[in-house]
Amino acid sequence: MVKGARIEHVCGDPTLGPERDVAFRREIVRTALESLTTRVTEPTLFEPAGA
Amino acid sequence: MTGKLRVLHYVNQFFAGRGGEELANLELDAVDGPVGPGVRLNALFGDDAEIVTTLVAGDNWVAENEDVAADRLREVILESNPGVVVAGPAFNAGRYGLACGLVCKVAQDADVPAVTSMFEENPGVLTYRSDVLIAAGAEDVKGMEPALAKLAELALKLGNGESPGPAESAGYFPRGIRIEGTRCASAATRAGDMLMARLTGSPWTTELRIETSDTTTPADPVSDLTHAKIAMMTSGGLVPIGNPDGQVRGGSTRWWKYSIDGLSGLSPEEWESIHRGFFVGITNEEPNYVMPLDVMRQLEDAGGIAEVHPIAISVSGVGTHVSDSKRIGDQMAEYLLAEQVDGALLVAT
Repeated sequence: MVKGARIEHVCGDPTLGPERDVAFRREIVRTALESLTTRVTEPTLFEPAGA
Repeated sequence: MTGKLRVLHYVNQFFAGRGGEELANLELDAVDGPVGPGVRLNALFGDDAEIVTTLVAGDNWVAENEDVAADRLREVILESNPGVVVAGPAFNAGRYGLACGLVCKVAQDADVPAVTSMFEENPGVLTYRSDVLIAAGAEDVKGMEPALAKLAELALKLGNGESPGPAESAGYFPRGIRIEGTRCASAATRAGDMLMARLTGSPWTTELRIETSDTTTPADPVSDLTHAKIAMMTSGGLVPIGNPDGQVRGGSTRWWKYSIDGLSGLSPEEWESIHRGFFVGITNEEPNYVMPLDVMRQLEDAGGIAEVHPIAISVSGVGTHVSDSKRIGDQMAEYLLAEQVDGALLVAT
């Protein structure tokens, strides 16, 4: 599992402004893809920077 | 004890009449007397108890600020000094159920007895059933009256220092507490009766429920993202504008597929969310929040992944029965495997 921002905007944050919002979304997705390549044995939380 | 039992009641922003999902960020507020369903609950207490304080908070505020919420709740509960705390009923509202569980746990930790009510599939039951007295409630507000009656009954018992009694007869979820007692008949008699009931097709109830564990073995990791086909999924109720396929807003028994072939991202002119369980205004201005296709395309262009699967999977994940969720999940997995997808990203709201 990857920690998202908030219920109403899981993959990003409108208060960051357009550029930083997209950068944050990229970081969340990057963390998610990294988690796909990581072996886990139980529910595991991955935390993107800024989440 | 002289005087009426003092009750503190917790409700969320919706049941307090403050507003719907758009008010889900409401911070903790305390008001005198009963509010919303508390008015009826207060009437059910009769002369035996009285709701002196109602606490109101938004479901998102509690969910996203649990530590702060717990501290504030503890402060107000200690200040109000009630004889018992009642939360909900939460029915099948997940965040509300979790909040009610938290309220009761905080109260109990402050030595104030507490009770809440929710539907058996509410995540609050899974999380708090061992710590907190949770009355078994209906799935939705059609069951408000019996839920309130049960809360009143249990609150009075707890507030007067009485034991709630065995879970099955008292109507709450077993907490895993076993107390020695004497059964009405010998084990031989009871076993014989149970066997007869089973053989004749009469109703029977096991005395010892064996809980099977519901663990899932994680799939093997993706070995090489640069050669991987990744599918995009969401339980955020994403639909093309106008919802042409009639995706339901909650309580899903099926799931939907939409083409994202050739799209460099999700535009608010073409996509929206119809999920009934959260405020969709922000996502509707930026649908990539609930399915981050824009950055996935950037990664695809840069070679970080081989391909974004051209079909996106969507459902509104609110009020979904567990049995339906399992079936839907199995079907989604079957589809993705048939499409030779290597991994999937699911955004849950």
